[in-house]
Amino acid sequence: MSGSNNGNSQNGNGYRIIGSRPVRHDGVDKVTGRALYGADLRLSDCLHGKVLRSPHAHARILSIDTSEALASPGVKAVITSADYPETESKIIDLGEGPAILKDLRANLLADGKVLYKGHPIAAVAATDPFLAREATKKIKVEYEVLKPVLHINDAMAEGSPLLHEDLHTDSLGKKSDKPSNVAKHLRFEIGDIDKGFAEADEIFEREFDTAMVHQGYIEPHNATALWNADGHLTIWSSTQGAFSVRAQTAGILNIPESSIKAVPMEIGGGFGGKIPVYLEPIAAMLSKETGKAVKMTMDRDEVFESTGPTPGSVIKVKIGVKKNGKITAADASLAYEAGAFQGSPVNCGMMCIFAPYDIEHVRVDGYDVLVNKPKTAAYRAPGATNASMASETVIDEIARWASLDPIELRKLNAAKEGTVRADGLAYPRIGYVETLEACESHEHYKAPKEGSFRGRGVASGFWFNCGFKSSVTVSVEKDGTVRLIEGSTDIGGTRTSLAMQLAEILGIEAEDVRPMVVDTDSVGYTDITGGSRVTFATGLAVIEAGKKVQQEMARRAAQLWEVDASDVEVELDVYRSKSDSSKSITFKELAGSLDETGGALSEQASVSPQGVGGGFGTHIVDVEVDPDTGKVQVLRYTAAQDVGKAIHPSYVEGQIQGGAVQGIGWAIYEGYHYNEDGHMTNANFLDYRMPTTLDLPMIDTILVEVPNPGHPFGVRGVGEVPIVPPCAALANAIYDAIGIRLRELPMNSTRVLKALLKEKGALPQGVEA
Amino acid sequence: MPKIIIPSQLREVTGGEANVSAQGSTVLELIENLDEQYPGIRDRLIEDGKLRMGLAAAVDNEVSSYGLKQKVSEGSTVQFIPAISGG
Amino acid sequence: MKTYLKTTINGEDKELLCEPRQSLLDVLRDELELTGTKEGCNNGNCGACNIMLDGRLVNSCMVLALEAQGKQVETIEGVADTEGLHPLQEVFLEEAALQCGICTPGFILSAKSLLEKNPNPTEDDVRLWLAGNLCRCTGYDKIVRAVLESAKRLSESPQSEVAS
Repeated sequence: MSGSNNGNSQNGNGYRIIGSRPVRHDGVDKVTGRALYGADLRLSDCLHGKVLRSPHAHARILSIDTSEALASPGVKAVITSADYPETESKIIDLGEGPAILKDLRANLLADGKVLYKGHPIAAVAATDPFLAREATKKIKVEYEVLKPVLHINDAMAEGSPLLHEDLHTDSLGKKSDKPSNVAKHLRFEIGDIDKGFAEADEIFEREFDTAMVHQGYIEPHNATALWNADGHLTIWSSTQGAFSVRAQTAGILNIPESSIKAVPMEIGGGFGGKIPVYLEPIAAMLSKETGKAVKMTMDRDEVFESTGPTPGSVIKVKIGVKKNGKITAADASLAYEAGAFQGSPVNCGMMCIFAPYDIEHVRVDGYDVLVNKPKTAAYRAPGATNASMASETVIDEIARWASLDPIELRKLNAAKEGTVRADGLAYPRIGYVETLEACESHEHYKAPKEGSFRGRGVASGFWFNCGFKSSVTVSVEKDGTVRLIEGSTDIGGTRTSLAMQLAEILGIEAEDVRPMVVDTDSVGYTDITGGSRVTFATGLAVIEAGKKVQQEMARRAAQLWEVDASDVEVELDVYRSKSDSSKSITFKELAGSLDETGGALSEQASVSPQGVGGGFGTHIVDVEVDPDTGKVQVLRYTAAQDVGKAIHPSYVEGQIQGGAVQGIGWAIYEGYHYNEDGHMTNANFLDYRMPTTLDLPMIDTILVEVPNPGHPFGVRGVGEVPIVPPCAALANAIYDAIGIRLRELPMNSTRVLKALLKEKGALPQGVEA
Repeated sequence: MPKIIIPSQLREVTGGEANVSAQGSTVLELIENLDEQYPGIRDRLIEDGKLRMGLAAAVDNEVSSYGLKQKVSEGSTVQFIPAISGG
Repeated sequence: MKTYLKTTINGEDKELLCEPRQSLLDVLRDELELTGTKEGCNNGNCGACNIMLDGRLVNSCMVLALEAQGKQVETIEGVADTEGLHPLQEVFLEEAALQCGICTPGFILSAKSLLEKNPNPTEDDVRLWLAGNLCRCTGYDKIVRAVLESAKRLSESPQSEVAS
């Protein structure tokens, strides 16, 4: 286990580079404003595109008349879904998972029906963004307005208006007779749930309701497309995965993936929200129509209303427990908002909800529910935060009932190596208990709680992390530096975490590696930057390519000395002849002799790894509740996480701090607010309240290092776990402060104040609790 | 013989049985052979020649990118779980 | 109808024609190709477009370009000089005070304006001043530490330009 913020990493366990804190390779560009993000691209003779979006949450489109828009000043093209090319296929493979093509298309340009406010209907290309926007106002659309379905409970109710008349509930391959807004029902079952509850001394049954939230990346979506006369399409955009941009665009436009070059620009935050494409295929169609490059950028309200937030949910939890605190059975039902098209991360929520615990009898049901809101997308450990809010607050209740410290109760029931999760899989070596122990012995947890309306809460969370596919190319320069060509867009410093792994393997310095994220024509296939997978999976590709480089360097040394390759041994950056100790050469010197030993040296590796290491985190938070306003102030925050092995501890801490703060925002500030017409009423950063510097204390981190056996350096993904515990930790702290359990998110001042007034019987008449 | 843990929602096809066995050296062969014992189970797991959208096969607790072509050995346990992605 | 604008950007006189409706942010990015100033919300809420206008920190999306007539504009492109990076830029790198980097130019301008007014800020001073800048990646911890460390470094080298 190593220390918290900004301390020197204990770099003493045999590594030279891993565990150190070099300056990131792309750093200077980013502090001087020179880094090129998508919106910074300037192409010659470029048009600008704007999208007409639905003013209604649910309506049938009766007619679209684009003639006046087309005749407007500067306008070169107007497109609607009628301009999509024909296609045969139904499902496209996006590498990390398949997608329903019809839905992808209809989400980008509405087909017959608009399903949420902000749903794109048509797009205009003009000589100037202002003229393009003006022209969208001249597109005439006739609607038959329908009643919007805005809450899960309404969507699941008998007789609810249907978003898709042809959608039937799928229960693992069996379709419901009647159409429904429930796209999917899934169930996990291990043990015998009735037997488990029969063994319990007490049963806790609670219901939760959480609001839709947005990833809130600061950079709005953007895309520029050039459909060249030779049939090749180039797309520059802000994305978590250039190859995914290529696959989605190719599928939607029914063209070969190989005819597209996707260029990932610097990305201004993603958190899962920049995996789906929104603008790329539209810019491409406009470019094809006009023969010119077309650039599109979203405004902030478009980002809120028309990209993929993460779902609100209704979750029921039932846990049976013995007097001694041992959990005997757990049952949960999770209904997640899919938005306008199916595909919420409810499956992940189901797998995570009881993941920290070793429970013999478990049942979990999940429902993927359509509502007239934007199609949801991933957001950092998608689905897990909602689930953890529910289970981890019930766990806190149980601890109080059993008169056990909440960490003690968790240790008593903790998942360990071999524990079987609700979905049936058994854990490899995990570090959950270690995070609990780290919190228990931390100064924060031992510090006395002082003052009224103050409380402390604890919660834990789990995320799988992902593997998927990655490719890299490593080339040696004559001066002994090394180029690392990769396809994982760098959101949080992965150029450096990869370069460090390569430097460790080759015995050189991190600064001697030049990492570059390149376009899809210039590197082997690489899946998205998501699932906290890059340092792990692309790292494995880097290690493999690095070892190949080392082997080849040894062969070159052998050639230089005219000895057999097996005679050469390598230690760090020194290559030696085993038989003749006078023969020794450094990596740098050998790099200078490449020409005499056969020329350029370049090695490639592509991986599709198993051995992904899941991660656990446990957070402690102290809050103060203002009894007059209901405002919750975070006083102190400590996050412990099993990170496997921290390659660059500063950026690992940064991931934990950033994730925790997004979780704090989710807990006490953020949420999509809808009026009864289904219009989001807070689609801006003033009213959609994300945490600021003023709202927060420092976020202390405890890096627990239980190495992942599936990675030579022990790397586990670290980016997603930290968003999972905060909501429940805050809810538990608020209970500790005011003695009221809040089971709805966000726990903003309005909600807290109402709860306080209700408790006192002082809620004014006519105010809903 | 490789073991298969039947997902809760498919136990209606296996008469409530959660743990079954079938011959085969790949996940696909296993499912094909299982379908002879429990007709209909194949179509619940496979669609258009691939594992049903959103489903992954885990062999001995590990999911791979091979899908139906994933190798299975005599002592293996195969489970079907939701495919996951991340943010 | 376009209007003549003369303004000084990072010490250089600039003359151009712009639309009266164009914001200073639009003109910096689209007419002058100074894309280091970022657009996050175009609504004055996120601070990604922070610049200095006659020594005052502003959201350039909320200022019409024509309001810069005859004034001094400082953008992120003017923060480093031929001598090298500004101490704030150096410390942001050393302290890993950025992840995706889109908010970084705004934070650096904002922090620079704070340190010009208050060379020895407390943590509370820093948190209050930077509350107009949103960062979604870092949780602010390392940014606040970087600004405090920069203040320390700058006050140890009094000949630094910040004193001016």
